[in-house]
Amino acid sequence: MPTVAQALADLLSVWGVQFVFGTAGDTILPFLACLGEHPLRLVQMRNEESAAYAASAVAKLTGTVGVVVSDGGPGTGRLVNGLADALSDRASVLAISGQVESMYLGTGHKQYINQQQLLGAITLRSENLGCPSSLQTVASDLLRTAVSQAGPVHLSIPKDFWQQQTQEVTAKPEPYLKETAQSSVGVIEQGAEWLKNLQKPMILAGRGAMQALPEVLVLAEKLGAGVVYTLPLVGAVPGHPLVVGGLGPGGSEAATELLGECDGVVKVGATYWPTVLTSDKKKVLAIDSHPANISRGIPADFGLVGEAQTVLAELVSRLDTSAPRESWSARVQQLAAQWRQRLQSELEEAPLSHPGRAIRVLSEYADEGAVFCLDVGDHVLWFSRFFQGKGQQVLVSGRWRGMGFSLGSSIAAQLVYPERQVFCLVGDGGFSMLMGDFISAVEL
Amino acid sequence: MNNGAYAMEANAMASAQLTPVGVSLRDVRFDQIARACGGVGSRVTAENLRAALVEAGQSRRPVLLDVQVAPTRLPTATL
Repeated sequence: MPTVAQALADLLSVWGVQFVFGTAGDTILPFLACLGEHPLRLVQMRNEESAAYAASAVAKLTGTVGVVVSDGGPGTGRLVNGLADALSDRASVLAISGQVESMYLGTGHKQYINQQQLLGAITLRSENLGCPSSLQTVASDLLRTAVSQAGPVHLSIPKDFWQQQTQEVTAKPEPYLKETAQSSVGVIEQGAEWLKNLQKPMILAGRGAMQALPEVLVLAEKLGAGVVYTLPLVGAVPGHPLVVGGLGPGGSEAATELLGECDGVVKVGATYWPTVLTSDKKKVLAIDSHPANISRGIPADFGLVGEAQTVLAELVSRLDTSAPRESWSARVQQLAAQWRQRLQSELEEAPLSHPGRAIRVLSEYADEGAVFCLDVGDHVLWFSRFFQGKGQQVLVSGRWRGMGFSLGSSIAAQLVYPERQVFCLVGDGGFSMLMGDFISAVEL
Repeated sequence: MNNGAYAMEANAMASAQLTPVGVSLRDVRFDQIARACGGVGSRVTAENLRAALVEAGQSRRPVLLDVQVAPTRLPTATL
């Protein structure tokens, strides 16, 4: 019979996990030793916060479960930002932490804290292993939750359990765990009909539209609508006369202007809607794989649930193009072209130290398949304003906006994509927070 | 990108006529820290950034480019 440490490592492998990010501590040592002899790779990090960001990044990049392991007490405390990021961005993460020996649970023992309370607000579920024999049951159930509900879960394991025996791993991930709801064809037909109400439509595309950008552009052409996007799509959206730019403080002012002028918005996989735009009521049709996101950011009048690619393909095939909204489309293209011209002049007149100039150099140098891990701060706004994408992937701490995210996530991106260029774009403030993990990058 | 400040916060404070307290950062030689950690590091500007990127692309070790930029204020900076 395997030990708890062996069975947990086996279970993670069965679930498709390749990397375990973590920092050593005395309540997890048997597990670390076990990883040394296991196909799973332990990626040694200098700070659990970066390790948790890295686990979240693996989930965001690959859709598989990202795993972080930490010591109990302070090590667990340092997981907070990474798990909050995973919860905020719906990333499937399993955090494993050590805990004091089972006989000391609930006592004032050194480094004891009720970890379930500590992490309760930033995980979908947090459990303490009650008995070595239940490892497979508890861990599998947590993994199912992480995958099917897309978010972080946590398992603490008392120090004295790791080397005790438990059952062989037999549980496998079920293939239907990621199945999402899908609006029926009838509802999509109603959505297509509803779009006829719009005379001056705009499209707002977010992270959920990442795999559906060609469909978004077809929709834009059929509707004569301008396309605005949120931060995760900067770099990914191809150049097109109807693409107006990014939304938000670092985005395109033409986007803000057109969203102000439009009478309706098709929101595709986006949850961000700046408060400055909410004063004027817009008609909204929203498409999202997660029903709760349909009215997130701005309330929707019509919701279509499902993967953006599938829903858009169905929707577009039902759209009538007899009314192409020519004058609106011309207005969109005019403002988009003016905005691009303005950015160009802004840079030509700017001093060498202007951040936009550095961003443009990056744009020119970066490969098409490059991954950009952005931190938090003004560099993100300059990136959003001046980066000219060629299909690059941008990774951000989307809703938690945790400073320090970029370094751990870039380590994860380089491991997941060893052949791709990976850029960690970070300010001096964000880098200072977790710069010890530059050493982790050196050690990869 | 090194602008010697929590520029987003500094610019937000400036936009609201608040005295910018607690938002400036001292000049740290991050390039030297990178080298001390076993990586590659250099301090650059937009002018020599492209050459530095080309060189970085050939490195087998992580490269830190400390890009010196100004804490330029975006027109949209608000509190």
